[in-house]
Amino acid sequence: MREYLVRRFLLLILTTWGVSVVVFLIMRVVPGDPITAMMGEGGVSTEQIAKIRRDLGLDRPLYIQYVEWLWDTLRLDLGKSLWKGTEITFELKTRLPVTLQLAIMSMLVVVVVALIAGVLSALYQDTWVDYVFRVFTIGGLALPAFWVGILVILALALWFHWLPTIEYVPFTQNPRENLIQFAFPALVVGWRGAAVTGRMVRSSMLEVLREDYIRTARAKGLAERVVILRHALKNASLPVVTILGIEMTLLLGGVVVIEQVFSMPGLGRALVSAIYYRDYPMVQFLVTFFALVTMVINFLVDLTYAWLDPRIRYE
Amino acid sequence: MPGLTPASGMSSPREEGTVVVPPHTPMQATTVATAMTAVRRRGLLKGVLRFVVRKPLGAVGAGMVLLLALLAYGGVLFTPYGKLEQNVSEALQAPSLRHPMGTDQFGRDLLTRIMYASQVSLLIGFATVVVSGVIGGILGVVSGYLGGKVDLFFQRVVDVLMSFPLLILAMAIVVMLGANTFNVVIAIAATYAPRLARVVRSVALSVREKQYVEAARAIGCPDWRIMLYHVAPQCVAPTLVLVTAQLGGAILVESSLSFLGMGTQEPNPSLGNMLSGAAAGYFEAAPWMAIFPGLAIALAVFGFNVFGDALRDVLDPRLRGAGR
Repeated sequence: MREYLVRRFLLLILTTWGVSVVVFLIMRVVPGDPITAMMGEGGVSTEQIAKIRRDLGLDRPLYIQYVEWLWDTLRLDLGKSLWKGTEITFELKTRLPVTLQLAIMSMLVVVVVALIAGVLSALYQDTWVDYVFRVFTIGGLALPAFWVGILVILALALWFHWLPTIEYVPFTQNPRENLIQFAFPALVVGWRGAAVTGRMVRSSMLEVLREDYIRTARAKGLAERVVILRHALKNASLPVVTILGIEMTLLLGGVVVIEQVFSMPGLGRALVSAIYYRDYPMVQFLVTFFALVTMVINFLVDLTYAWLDPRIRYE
Repeated sequence: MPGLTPASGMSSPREEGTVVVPPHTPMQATTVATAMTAVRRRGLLKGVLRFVVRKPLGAVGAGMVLLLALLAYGGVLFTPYGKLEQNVSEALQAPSLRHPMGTDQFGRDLLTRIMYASQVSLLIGFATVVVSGVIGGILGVVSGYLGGKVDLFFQRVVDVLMSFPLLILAMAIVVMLGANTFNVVIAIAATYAPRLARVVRSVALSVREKQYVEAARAIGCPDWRIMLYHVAPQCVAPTLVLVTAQLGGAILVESSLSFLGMGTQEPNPSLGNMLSGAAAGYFEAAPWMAIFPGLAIALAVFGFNVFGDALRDVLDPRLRGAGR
């Protein structure tokens, strides 16, 4: 296990370095001058542009820019947002809680709904429970999250005359208001993941339930609940872990979109407006950040997998 | 297997499509190829008929896609309205016989706009899949067949590209290239290609060990020729299956991008941008403006997903009878 861990960790570092190169290059290959794009046409003198370029260090060779950027990022000196003029670390501090809470709550939706719905539809295969589940999964896969979000807001407004509060309410201030605020977006984002993961739970359970040891467990008189939860579900969870990991990274993309729909002041919304205002330092940081989170999730999933299935670490 | 590839070595379903593809072991993929050849021999029409009988749901999916394509490309020939034609006196009208899906805030006919928008979606979907299929295919075959350092390098590149959340990488690439249809295709293709390359590589790895490849090498066939004529054909079928499954996903990503303002730009319609921007302010007064474009996306994605699933089941004998 330790050797596997070390190997996997070295790979993580290598990939992180690769990601930093890709992000850096993407931001430098922007056609035209980012400064001109930022300032718009006219109204800015050449001296001003030259000054901004100097301030941003854009007049130096590419590799020096890269090394400096890497060094600054490693020291968590992230610089300032070009558009708002605020420190990026400040933006991160205020916006991360929103995105984090949304991601955690969506993930909760995914896990809870997928496990319950998946197990039930496997137990009641080809009954109405199963059919309802299938409609649910088809919906989750085909309906774009942002559209479902729009419809939810619309339905709430038209029928209940209720609008989601624009102002973000921290959990510590008013837990009830905060949870209501996050519940709808979390449900919308989680639907897709719940559908995909639930499908995996279902097929995995169906496979396991046919195994001999399940029959043995039943034959020796174990309660059905114990057979299902301890014997079947535990063994069926292996493929589910992989899917959950993939869904977690996909969830990040969903969060970006849904923050826009529900006007939530999170990192995703920051990314979209940073792109809109061509705020390159901000875009660069946020893309790196999301990639880092994805890599850490993948790393943890691989470790969980190796821990659950000994065959992998001895490969 | 090179020493440093735990993630790539496992055949866990690492790819992030909307449709979850079960673990593709090399063996499984070649069985797909064999099944595909069998289908080809039986004749295309017969194959289609068999597909309809055995996978009615898949046929329904294909039918829905065809319907949408017909509406998108045929419908525009018959509509009396232009895609940008404004008529303020008829603004925000509810669905009626004159305007089956109502009108928007400028009095533009929504059905007509959705037809044009669907053209964009379908075009981007197919183009993306072709581009990513070709790039991913070439990378996969070269990486799997040559092995060694080339493989190690390509797989690390794939690792890096797969470390970005799909939508966010696509967004970053669109920012870099600028928002237009062509660049959106490149952006989505670039996010899908590495995932495809990984699967194709696993097929190429197994084909490389086949005797006929060894025979080709023995008579002095150059590597490029072996890759092109002996390895690549074996990889076509699994690529096709994966790619069909990804079509729905590609259309979803496209609509998300244009919803976020990073795709087709107003006043040109796309299914995503019809749901955002200034239009969003009128949804309460005119809910049909919110409902129909989304419905069109859902129809396309659902159609492709169901069709892709059925195609995979038919072409991959190992999945027959298992699951649904």
